[in-house]
Amino acid sequence: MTRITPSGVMRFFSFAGSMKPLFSRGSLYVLPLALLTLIPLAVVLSSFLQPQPEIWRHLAQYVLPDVLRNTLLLVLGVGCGVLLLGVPLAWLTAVCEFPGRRFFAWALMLPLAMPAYVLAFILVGLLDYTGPVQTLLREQLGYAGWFPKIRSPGGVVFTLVLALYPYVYLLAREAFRSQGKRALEAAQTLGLTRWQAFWRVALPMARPWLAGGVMLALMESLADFGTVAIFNFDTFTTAIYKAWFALFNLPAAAQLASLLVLFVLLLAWLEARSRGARRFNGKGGQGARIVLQGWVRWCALALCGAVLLAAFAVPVLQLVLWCAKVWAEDADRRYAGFILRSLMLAGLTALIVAAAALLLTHFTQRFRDSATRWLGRLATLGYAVPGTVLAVGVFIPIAWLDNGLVFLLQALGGTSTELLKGTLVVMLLALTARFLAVGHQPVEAAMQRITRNQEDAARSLGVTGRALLWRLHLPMLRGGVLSALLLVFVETLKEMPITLMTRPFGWDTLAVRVFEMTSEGMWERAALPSLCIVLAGLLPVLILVRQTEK
Amino acid sequence: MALLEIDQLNVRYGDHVVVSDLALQLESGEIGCLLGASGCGKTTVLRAVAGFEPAQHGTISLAGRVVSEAGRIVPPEQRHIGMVFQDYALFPHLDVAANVGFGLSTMTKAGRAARVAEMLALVGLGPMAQRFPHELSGGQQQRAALARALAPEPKLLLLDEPFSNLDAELREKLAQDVRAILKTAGTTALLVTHDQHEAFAMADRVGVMQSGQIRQWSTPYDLYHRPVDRFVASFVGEGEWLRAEVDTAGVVLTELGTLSGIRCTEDPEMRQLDVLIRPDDVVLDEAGQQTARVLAKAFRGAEFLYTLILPSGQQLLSLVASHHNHQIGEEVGIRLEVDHLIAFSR
Repeated sequence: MTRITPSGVMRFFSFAGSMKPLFSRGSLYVLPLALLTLIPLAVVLSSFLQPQPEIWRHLAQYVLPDVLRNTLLLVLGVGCGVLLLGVPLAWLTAVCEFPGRRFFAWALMLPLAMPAYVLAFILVGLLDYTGPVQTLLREQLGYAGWFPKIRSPGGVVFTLVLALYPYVYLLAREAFRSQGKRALEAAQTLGLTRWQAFWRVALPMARPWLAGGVMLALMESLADFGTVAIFNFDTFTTAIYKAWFALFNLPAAAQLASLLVLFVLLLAWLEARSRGARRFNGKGGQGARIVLQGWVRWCALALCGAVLLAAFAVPVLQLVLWCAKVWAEDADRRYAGFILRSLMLAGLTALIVAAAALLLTHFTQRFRDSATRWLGRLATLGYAVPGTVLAVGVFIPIAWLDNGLVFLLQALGGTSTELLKGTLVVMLLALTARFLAVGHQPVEAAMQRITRNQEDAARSLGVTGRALLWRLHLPMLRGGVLSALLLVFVETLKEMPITLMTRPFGWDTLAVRVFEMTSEGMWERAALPSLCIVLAGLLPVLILVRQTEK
Repeated sequence: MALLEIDQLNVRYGDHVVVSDLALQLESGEIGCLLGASGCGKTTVLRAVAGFEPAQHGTISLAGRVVSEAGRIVPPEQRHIGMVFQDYALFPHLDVAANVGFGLSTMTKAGRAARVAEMLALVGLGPMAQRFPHELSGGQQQRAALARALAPEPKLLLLDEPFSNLDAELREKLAQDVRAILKTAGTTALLVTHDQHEAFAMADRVGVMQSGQIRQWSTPYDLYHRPVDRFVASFVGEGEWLRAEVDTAGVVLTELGTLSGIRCTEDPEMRQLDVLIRPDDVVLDEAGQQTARVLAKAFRGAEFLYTLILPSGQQLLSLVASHHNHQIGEEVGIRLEVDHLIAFSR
């Protein structure tokens, strides 16, 4: 009956010396999940190692100058914009009191449900030269040449800021609320005015949160494909897409992707660092709010109202109007197909990711060695990697594998020319890699609530290994797994580049439909699929609202 | 044969030695206790006995079978050991009955239900069977955890600071209750605590631990009255050290006169001594020949604990009934009544 357990031996060895095992049983289990992200990354980055001078010359001459300039503009503009918008809104709703504050506190999170590309075509449709706003201005004033052009770098930045400010808003709010009033009160007893206290105490204390929010917004901007495509504003993502589908030059796509990955990994590293610096201090600080007086409170109300109108209310209204207009002719039988395929893809991805997240969490919990932990971190790196990059990185090795398999099959007398390529498998692999972190986060958070002692109690009662997963982990992780399913479902529904680039022929989803209609400038006909996506996206946002506004 | 036997146990985390050369024996049916300040390694010993920590050296044997030795460890689930955790570690998704039945998966459904009912009756939680952990008070959670650990009839029950999350009044009552439950069930148990009142209320044998070693393993009475070294003498109970000399006839002389009583420590040849004077050894006596000045006093309800200072500057503690109410600075007459002479050479 007595036996030597591997984990016991492993622990013995790692305690016995300072030597850390590079490989362990746990890391062996986690490895396949990590490879899902690591292989595409390695494939893309390895294109650096096989430089193709003629491709580089072409890229450097015709593509890179615009792409680099635009990307830099985007990063700077969006970075500053989300801070300038997110921080004041967070401060107003977290610390101050003004008419409508309770409503805006949660309503300002609603734009999270609106994919940037949907907001983009609505804004273009509304504010373009032929759009209703400029037309009305011309009719009333006779001339509207002063009106800023929406199809401009400023327009892209404006759109992305409206779509992405909630990241900074959410984190900044969390920071201001967790700081508590004590620090501010202490500053005021030391002779600072409220205004000085904000600049010299509250803002510096919130720095790690603000940095985290900005990094998330920037990662989204770099990964964004739909918005920049609508604005015809070339960045890495659109350049990768064009290299592949317009020039049929996969190596060029991979070269571009490798550059983008470097940018993004830098951001991911900065984000992880800012997360480490976030510590909650100052307990019980939910004291009296700063009550705004006079015209200031109306300014606060106006600011919150304007942002909510521009980022959510007006766009949704416009979507509904457009839908009503084209409903009769547009909502035909094909829509059943779009919706069904979207639901199926989102559902499958959600199930796969939830299962993978559960396994990942279970293994990292069961095997606590450093090798397992590191591989676990690498496995969730996919959230930082833009969809266009993953699409390229998954497609290349699959195509290679396919060629080998097809060759083997033909040698055995088969006739097929494609096995994996052009099937759902490629798309599901890329989507799983992309959203594993999204699903892992809530499951991991639920796992954190299972204490070491509860696990030890189960073990001492004879429950181990797989029984532990079924009888302790699964029941206690139920809530986390449900959130993971919902979040990944909605993210997949919104997802555009991976679906677009890796879908089987004719496999159109709602997001693909949006892309196709918007790329032809038919805003009204993109409204119906967009409204479906926005409505589905509201679900997790409402849950988030309930969690944060207890 | 001892049910639990630990011999020369060493546990290290990396280079940090947590337990070194620790030995103890616990007879079947006995309740043992490891007593020590936090960080002395007592919880590590418990986790090593449970099988959660490996032994780098030495052995742990259960009922004559070696379960831990260097490089070999029988996993916890095969040891038939029950454990009650400091935070109880109840499973929040299961009600009390399901928690208690968690370790009974090999039994039939009927057998399990009967066993759960029996356990709940034993700890007095019968009416709470359908409640969930968060609906219970701290004391009830503690009993539920105890019932869960006892349900599979473990050979040995381990309790890690079982009362530290409870109110002070509840603690002593529950310690006595738990002792009664364990004695009823005939369970052998090993307990870990930093609170000597708990240790004395629960245990048949107590081991005082310091830096990973047991200094003394004996009955609570002997720990208090026959400590083997200065550390144990100071750690258990209160008292002040008084200088003394032994003359050729073996009489112990102090500045408060000669002392008699059972000499319980070290060799009789020593001449220069430190004698531990417990607070209950110092009696306030109007007619006492010695006087001392009150330096401080602490009201403890039924008693006062006075800190006294002798003309020589030597301090003493005195525990007296609280109707002896003296002011700070007052001169009082005192007398020593020492039954057990705790003395170590200077």
